[in-house]
Amino acid sequence: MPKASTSAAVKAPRGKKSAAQPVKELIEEAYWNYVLEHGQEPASVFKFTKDHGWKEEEFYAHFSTFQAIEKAFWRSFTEETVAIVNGDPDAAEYDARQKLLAFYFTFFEGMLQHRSKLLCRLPRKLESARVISGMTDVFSQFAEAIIAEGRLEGSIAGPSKLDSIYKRGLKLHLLWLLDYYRRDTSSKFEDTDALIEKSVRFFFDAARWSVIESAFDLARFLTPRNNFR
Amino acid sequence: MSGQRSIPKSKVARAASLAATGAKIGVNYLKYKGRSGMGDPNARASFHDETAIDTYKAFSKLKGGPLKVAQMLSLDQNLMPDQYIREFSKAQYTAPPLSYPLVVRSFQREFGKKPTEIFDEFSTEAVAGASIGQVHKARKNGKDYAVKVQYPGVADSLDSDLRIVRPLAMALFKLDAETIDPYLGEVKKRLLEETDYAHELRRSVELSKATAEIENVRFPTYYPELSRDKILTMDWIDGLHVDQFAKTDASQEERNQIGQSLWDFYHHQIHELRIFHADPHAGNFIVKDGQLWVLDFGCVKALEPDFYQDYFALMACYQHARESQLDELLERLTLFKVGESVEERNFLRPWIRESIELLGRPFWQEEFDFSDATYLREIFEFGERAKVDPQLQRAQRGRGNPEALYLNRAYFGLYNLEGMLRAKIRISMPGFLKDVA
Repeated sequence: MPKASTSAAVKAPRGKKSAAQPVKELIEEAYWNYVLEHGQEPASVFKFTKDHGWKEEEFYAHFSTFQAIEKAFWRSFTEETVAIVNGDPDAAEYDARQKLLAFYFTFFEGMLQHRSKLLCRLPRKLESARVISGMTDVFSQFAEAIIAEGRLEGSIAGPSKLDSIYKRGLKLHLLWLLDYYRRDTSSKFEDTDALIEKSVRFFFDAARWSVIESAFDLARFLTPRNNFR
Repeated sequence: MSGQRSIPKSKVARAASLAATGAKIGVNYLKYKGRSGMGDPNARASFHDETAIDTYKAFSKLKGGPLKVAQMLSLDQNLMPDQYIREFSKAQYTAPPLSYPLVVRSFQREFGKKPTEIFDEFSTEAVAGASIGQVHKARKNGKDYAVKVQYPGVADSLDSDLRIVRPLAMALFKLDAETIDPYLGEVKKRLLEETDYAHELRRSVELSKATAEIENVRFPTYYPELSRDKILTMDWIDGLHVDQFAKTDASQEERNQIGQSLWDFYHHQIHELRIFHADPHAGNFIVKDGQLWVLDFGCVKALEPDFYQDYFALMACYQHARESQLDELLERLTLFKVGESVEERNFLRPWIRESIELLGRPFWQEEFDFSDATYLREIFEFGERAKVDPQLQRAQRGRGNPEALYLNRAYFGLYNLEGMLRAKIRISMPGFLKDVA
């Protein structure tokens, strides 16, 4: 049962636009506050906008459904991450592997602010989750660029027919890391960092001995360990 | 939506470093295979040349555990091909620096103040780097100080560092688990000690008091009030590292004096104090105004009295051909395993004899001339022969006391330094050996 007091807890716009003209960011903030505090969506757009003193049509000017808000978040978070990696002057010198590492590390560091969204709002099976379709689209484009760069510099080999498989593989890789991260209970989520490191290495190893080596190392890492932490 | 978001670059560097090494080595390996397919004898050498440099670069970026492993392996000349030894001995005191903002952050964590709020002047660039920290020069009230700043997270990431480096070192240097694991165990212990600056501070006070009577050996003063857990402040000593000094045109007399101080210092530790400085490399000793200054008290090892007796008694027995007493000694030192075959022991005997003779040779003369390159070459050649003998390599698995490992390494390190100095040393025999003689 939504508590009446919660709607009062919505911050009144700080002297900028009046509540009658909600900015996109205000809607998003209000929505996330509600959903993370209550563990479920508001009863309806009608109720949600009413509680904030907005008109229902003002909501639809920006979003068609509640899920659209969530979808937009995942997409723009990923877009932002890609932009950071592509825009960083040091990262311009990175090879394909380093760029992928940079993406993952930046992504998961950013996730620290949004972990509850991940834990509370994403379904168990990520692969079929429509709410993150924008995220995976954006990432797939980035992955394509990584693969192309990898081919140029020789760190990715094999027939070019494999490219679409590599791309799909990287997409699944991201989802797998996301799933691991949400179940990660290690201090500062350092297990996720370790997994990123090992799994990216595994993905990129071309020479035969190093494939076996890194597979073994990765397998060792994933087998149940005594976690005294 | 977000605050300041940026790439966590240290994580990327760390993860990419070893992975990059693997890939580059893979590429190098392919080039080498290509050439050696035509029977090119130079192929293997240049493979190792290129790989050594790449590997060193990768390891040195990582600081902490991986770099320490590399240093330790390079000190044990039998385990690494030459090209690596050259590259990795560079690692001993010239690892790349940590950025100044991170140094400031360390100070704020430990003192609650910036370096410039504690000192009048503080160098933004490090003047020297080591495996676990770097040294800055500072000034306060007209006096110069050396300030060691530890790399954050070295102690914490130790376990995962060693886990990461293990497969790489095994593949690169063709070592199996049984050979490399003792090293990794040692590295971990030593690193934990070295990262404990409070321990180093205590040690230095003890050691400088205990060796006060050795001529021409000096120790910098440490300043506890300007030190914390991960920051250590001591006198700044202006001078040359021993190897730099060795390359100058210093007179034979000066070389002898420095070499003698070094020798006496070592033997006073070993025979009187039953401890020794386990890391004798040139970066730990500075020559200034004809005196030897000893830095870095992080890795001082204690000598068990039993081991000490047995080890030096072994030398005496060989020297005086009293081989009958040997087997028992060798068993106590675990150089001979209980219950092994006569053939195995007969095989090992000449090897053991040769290495003990080599190691102990300087002790039986009144004066030993380290400028004679033949001695050091003999040691090196012995190592080369030992490396390629398959039966010996097999036999060495799981044999021998780790204490002996350390002590041997310390001695060979010492001989190396004396060799660099081309010094002539007066050898003083430890008391109990004289009796035995």
